[in-house]
This record gives sequence, structure tokens and C-alpha cells, in this order.
Amino acid sequence: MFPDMSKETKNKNGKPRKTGSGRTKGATSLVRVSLGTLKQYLASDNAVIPVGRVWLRDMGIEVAAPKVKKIKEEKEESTKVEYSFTTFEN
Amino acid sequence: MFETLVGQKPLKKKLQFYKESCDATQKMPFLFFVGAKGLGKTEFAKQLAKEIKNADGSRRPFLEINCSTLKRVDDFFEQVFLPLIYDNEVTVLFDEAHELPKGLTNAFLTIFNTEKDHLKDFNYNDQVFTFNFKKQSFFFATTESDKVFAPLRDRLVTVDFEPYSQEELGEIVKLNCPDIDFEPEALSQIARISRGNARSVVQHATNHIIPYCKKERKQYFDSKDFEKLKDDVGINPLGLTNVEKEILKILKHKGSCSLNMLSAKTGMSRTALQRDHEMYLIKRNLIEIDGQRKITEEGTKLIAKLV
Repeated sequence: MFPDMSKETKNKNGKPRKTGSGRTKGATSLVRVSLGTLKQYLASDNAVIPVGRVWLRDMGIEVAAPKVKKIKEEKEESTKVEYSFTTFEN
Repeated sequence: MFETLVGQKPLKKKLQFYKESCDATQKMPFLFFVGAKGLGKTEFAKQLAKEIKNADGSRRPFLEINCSTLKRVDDFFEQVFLPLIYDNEVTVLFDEAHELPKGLTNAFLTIFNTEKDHLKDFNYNDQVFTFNFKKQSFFFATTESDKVFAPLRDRLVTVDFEPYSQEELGEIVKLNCPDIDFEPEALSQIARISRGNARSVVQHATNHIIPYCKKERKQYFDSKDFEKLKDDVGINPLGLTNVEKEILKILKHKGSCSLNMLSAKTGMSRTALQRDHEMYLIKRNLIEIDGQRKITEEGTKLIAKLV
């Protein structure tokens, strides 16, 4: 389905929004699939499949806290400051 | 005051006022010199600094710092403030102020936020640094005032420059070539290739005109000399650079062109093209931008003469 092009969407600043920008209506990152179908593809019980964190929480399964990578603060090294000092004759 | 500097009458008047106020109150406002490159920001700041007197009547020294080399707040206090500013009578110019690092800009927001008092204590790393604005004057200079943090700009008094007229540029040439007499037309021609830039005419005087006259054993410089000099050192009409000449040629050949296309054809970055070349071509009415870059009638005539 193509979006209805006759209706122009406007941005906050009043300018018309570019066509093709934004998410297509109905498009989501997750889809529904039966456990039976999944089982056909997963041979081992130890297979790891990525699932949504929110879905897991809704199912009451405990979720490990995400690992947060600490960003090391880079300490800038001292550099020589360039300057010129002028004295004037009186 | 400013006898050796040509033009900029309103600016001179303004600075004269601040100098006289400083004589009366011992306090100089924090001045912010703003203008295109080569207009004399540093030179005017230096000349003003020369006129500021210490308590004992002697001339106050002048400290010029290139802000692009100031990387950390610690460097400023350790290498500059403590040895040269603290408790001394000095005028400080922060040149290329748009290059001030964020940390120092924040420190300056506190330091230069003065009301009536002339003393300001700044606490940093458990130390107290005292600024005395009766002993120390602070100037800032930049071509890119928009890149200086707005709250810092608000704490400074802006001193901005006007473009130089052709006559003024001619005067600058004469001042820099004291042993040479000039035909008025030759002076106008030199002014026309200077791109309105005082530094550029000084460079032409020092690097081209004086050596040329010495080589030719001449004390008089006329239009014929200028033509010969132009040919010898490859000076284009209106002082165009070879990149600008190339841009005009491309536009004449293609009709109109995008910035990306010009960048690909000349091998110059988009920023360099816009900042260093297009601005001048537009100013001289040689090209125009209407979505696409186009050569004007004047530009077409000029390139026809050049090729």
C-alpha cells in the first residue's frame, strides 16, 4: 500500500515534510511467530535467540541488567602556550 | 594616538574614548575586536595597549596569546597567569578568541562577570587566582565572533571594523614604502588587487614593490611598473587567486554548477570554496548563487580577458 499522497503532512516549523521520511504505517521491528515454527528451525535446546526485553519482562522472566560500558575520560596532555610579550619604551 | 594607522575613524574615536575613560577610572572595558582578516585587529589592540599607562606613568606591557595553543585551563593559569599576569600591570590580548577551549571559556564567564569591583577571585583546583582589573586589561580578537560562546560575548564590548576604501589602502602602501613616490593610478591599481585587506597591501609593499624598486633602481612607481610587477609575480586582476580563476573558467564552461561539482573539479573542500573563494567572487559581483553557482556578465567579461 502506498501512503495517501494527496494529504500533505507538515513539520512543526510549517514546512511540508519530505516524502519517504519516517516509519511506514504498520511497520514494526517484531513479528509474531508460533513456537512450533521456531522449534522446526532450532535444533538444540541451547540455541540462543534474541527476544525483546519488554516482552521478557511482561512474561515475568527476570532480565539481567544491561552491561554499561564505561567511557574512559581522556586526559588532555599539557601543551606549550604560544604568546608574545612586548614592552614599550616610555 | 593611532597616527601610524590609516582609516577606521569611528573605531579610533571609540578607542580614544575608552583610553580616556581608563585614564580617569584606571579600568579599561573588556574589548572584543571583531572584523575580517587583515583589517588590523591585532595592530589596533596593540596601539591602544601602548597608550595605557601604569600607576607610575610608565607604559603597560602587552601580552598577546594565540588561543589555538591554549588547550587546558591549567595551562593558562600555570604558564600564563601566574608568571605573567598575576599582580602585574599588563594588557592581555586573546587572539583568535574563537579557539578558546570550553573549560577556559567557562572560567572566563565567571572572571569577566564583574560589576563595580575591580578585583575578582577565581577559585580553581583549591587555589584562588586574583584578577585586578585596575592593573590588568583584557582584549579579545577574532574573525569568527559567532564561534565565541554568546554569554562570554555578552561580557565584552564589541569593537568592529569597517572595510578600507581604495584611498586608504593606497595610503597604507605609501606608509610602508617611505622611500618611493607613487603615481596615483598605480596606487589605485595596487589597492584594487588587495581584496580590501590592509595586511595584503602591506605584504605587496614589503614583498613586491620595495624589492622591485630596489632591483630596478627606481624611486618612482607608476602603472607601467605595476603591469611589469603583475606579470613577474603572477598577480591576477582584482587580486583573484588561481583557484578563483579556475572557478570562473568552470562556470563559464558549464553555465551553472553545484558546490559539490565545483569541489570535485577544483579539488578544494566545500568549506574552503565557500569561505575563502566564493565570498570574494560574490562580493566582486563575478558569480551569483541561486541554488546553483552561476557566472555573472562581469565574471564572463573578466575571464574572457584572462584566458
